[in-house]
Amino acid sequence: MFDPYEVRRDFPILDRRVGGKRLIYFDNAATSQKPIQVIEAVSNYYRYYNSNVHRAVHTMSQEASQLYEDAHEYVARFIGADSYREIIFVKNATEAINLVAYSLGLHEFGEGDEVLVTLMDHHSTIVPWHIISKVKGFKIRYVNVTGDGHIDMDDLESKLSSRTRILCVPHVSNVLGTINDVAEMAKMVHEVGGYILVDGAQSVPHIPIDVKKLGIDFLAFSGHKMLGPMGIGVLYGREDILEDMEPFLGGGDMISSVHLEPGVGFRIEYNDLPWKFEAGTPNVAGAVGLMEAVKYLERLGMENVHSYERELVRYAMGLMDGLDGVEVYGPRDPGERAGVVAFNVRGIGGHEAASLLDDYGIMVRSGHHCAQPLHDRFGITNSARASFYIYNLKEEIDIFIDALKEIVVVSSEL
Amino acid sequence: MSYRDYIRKIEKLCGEKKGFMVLFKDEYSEEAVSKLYKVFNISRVRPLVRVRKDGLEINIFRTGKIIIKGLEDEDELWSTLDELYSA
Repeated sequence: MFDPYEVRRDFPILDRRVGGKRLIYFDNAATSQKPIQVIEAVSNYYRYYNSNVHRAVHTMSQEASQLYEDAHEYVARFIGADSYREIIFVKNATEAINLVAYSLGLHEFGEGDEVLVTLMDHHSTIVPWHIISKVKGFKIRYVNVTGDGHIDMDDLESKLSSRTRILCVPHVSNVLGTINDVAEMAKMVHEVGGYILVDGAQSVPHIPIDVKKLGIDFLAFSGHKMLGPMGIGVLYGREDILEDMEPFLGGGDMISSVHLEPGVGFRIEYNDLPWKFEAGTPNVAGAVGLMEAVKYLERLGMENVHSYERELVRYAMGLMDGLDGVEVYGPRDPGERAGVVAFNVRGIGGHEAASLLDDYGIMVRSGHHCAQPLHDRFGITNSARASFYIYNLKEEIDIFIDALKEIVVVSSEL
Repeated sequence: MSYRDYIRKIEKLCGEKKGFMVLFKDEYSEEAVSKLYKVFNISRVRPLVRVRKDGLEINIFRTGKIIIKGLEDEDELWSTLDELYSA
């Protein structure tokens, strides 16, 4: 197990104060903080290596291209992909999901087909499929969530059919923290001939991932939630599926040739994977930063990351469960969830609770967390959410709990 | 100087269809909050005070922020603020 106090030394931002209080950053599900190794990797890239990739024979372009390609290799190994060809760099998990929705949905799905989405899904999954369904006429069906915060597997089974083209599911709920059994879901959807697209935004940064063992077809995740820079994300796709998919965006680098043939028009041949899906100048510095973030997490060990966060959640939930006036959402067993704890304080909304916690220097997210159908399912409009990562401490949770106790009193006096 | 000079930022609340947050500039936050305390005859300073006015829920934070719920749109927010700060 790593030493979280040692880890903290790598994160300069944790030294800052907010409103005179020591910063307690519990908004890691929105974005993580960055270690100095990542900050320096990005800075060094711009200081010493900046050049466009795959465009020139000169030394600097070759060096930048090598770094960019290395980043694909590192990410491939990190998630157990067969090769870098299965790793497409995008802006974020949202763009990764849109890529699948547009490349598959727009070109291959149509009337009579069904796309399954769960009520636990983030808007970034629901909305792209909704947009494309309006164009192509396929149907979107919703898989329910049980009262204890799990995907309703019976409901899923009842909705799977030969019409199902793809099942979209979050690996970890960004609200409830539930870790979903995507391996089982992959088997179920494959039996009816459909694909599975897993939103890994809240899982890849926190738990060990092996896409081959999970048996999934697509995995979308963001770099900025896993210690990397903003503006870089990843779509993993099974190579045989990606080979057959149409490109998402057109432009430079995603083609191998473009020629005008008289009387025919433009004859365009696409590039090899993964470049076929990476049109235009990519975010090379972001890729370099992401590679460094992956190295950092690998040094800690993803099993250790998961164990440590599970211990933090166990500790936090144990204390929160004893607080009268605080309602925690999601599975009761901390072993079934990742480091996300959504809650509300009786008498006030999530924004008020988060605003009051801010006075203690504690940063938590509030709102619907881009998961309004899930909030509707539980009959609430919003919630506050504490989410933990490798640099958080039990002492910080103690301060958080003391603050919550005072907030319960404040809300009772309103 | 108008009360509008107190304001650093206005933001629509995520997950609250009719809610807005008003953040005051640090240098004016105390003045902005005390004026509201005066309007609503609040004598005891607390981290959060909630008052209701014309169907609106107004949450006043000691540290220089208000959250108003029940508003139709930003225009109604401004007319509410105009009314509160001209009282």
